Amino acid sequence: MVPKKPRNDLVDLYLRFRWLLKGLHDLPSADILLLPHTETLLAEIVQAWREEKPLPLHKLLDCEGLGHFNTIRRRIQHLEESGYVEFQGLESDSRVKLVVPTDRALQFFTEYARVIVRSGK
Amino acid sequence: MSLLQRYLIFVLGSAVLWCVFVPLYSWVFVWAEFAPGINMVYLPHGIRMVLVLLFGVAGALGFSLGARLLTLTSLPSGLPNESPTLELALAVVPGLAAWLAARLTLKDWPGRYLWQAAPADVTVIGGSRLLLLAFVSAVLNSAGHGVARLTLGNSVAHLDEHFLAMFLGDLLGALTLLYGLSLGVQAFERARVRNRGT
Repeated sequence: MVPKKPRNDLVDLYLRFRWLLKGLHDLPSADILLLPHTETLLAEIVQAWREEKPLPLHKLLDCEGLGHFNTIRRRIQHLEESGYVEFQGLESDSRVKLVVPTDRALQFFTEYARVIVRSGK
Repeated sequence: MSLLQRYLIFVLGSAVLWCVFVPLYSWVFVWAEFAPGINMVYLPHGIRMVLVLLFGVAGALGFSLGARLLTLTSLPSGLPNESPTLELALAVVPGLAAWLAARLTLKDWPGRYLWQAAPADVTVIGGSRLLLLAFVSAVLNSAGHGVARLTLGNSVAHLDEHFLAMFLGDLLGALTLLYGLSLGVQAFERARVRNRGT
């Protein structure tokens, strides 16, 4: 059987809509965790916190693998505004700010894990 | 499909969407009407933006045509009863404003490519750019309406109030529609992920 040729016009229409959907995802204060880099950053913060070594803000900003200094700072700010992380001071050094996940962030990863477990069944 | 056919489909599709959406919207949002043709939350302005982003000039022509067609029927058109010249101008102004706003705020968007398929690498639009587009098109549209009334209309009373109400209505309408669509898309994607998991 000869496979049907794709309808180029329909493909074009689909791509146009996909382009718009990407823009809609990026609307300010839309769910920021839909942005993959922000999710990676949050995962990094949660991982360090689980190992009982919460990351200080300055160390996170220096992580080149996560992006440019200003970009990471902006993402952390977004995460804080959206209630996914909070800052904690150190008793021994008041200048150090630790970035720790909130219950909301933990809830997000719990949901995530549940979906992965379900899809693996 | 020839290029002309494709262009006509974009124009007619946009016109049909306008002719279906605007009467429904006018019926539901009659309570938000500030003055004839001016609404405090004008969702169709969001539709205009979406059509211009997707289909460019063809989308703009489509909803201008739709607005003109609606004035010929007894359905609510969003256009007040004015002289035919002014009615025509008021149908054309939003199309021109939305297209001009896209030209001013975006370097590249799928609506720019009418006679060919939009390339896959069209620059992704940022959310803040989308909001800027909503703002600029609301300013241009309300200013364009003001100029049209000033030059072609019989009465210029309350022009400033109408400008402000229309600007706010267009901006709020576009934001409501964009955020509504965004939430809808997110809910849909979450549901899809959940269904995959079961």
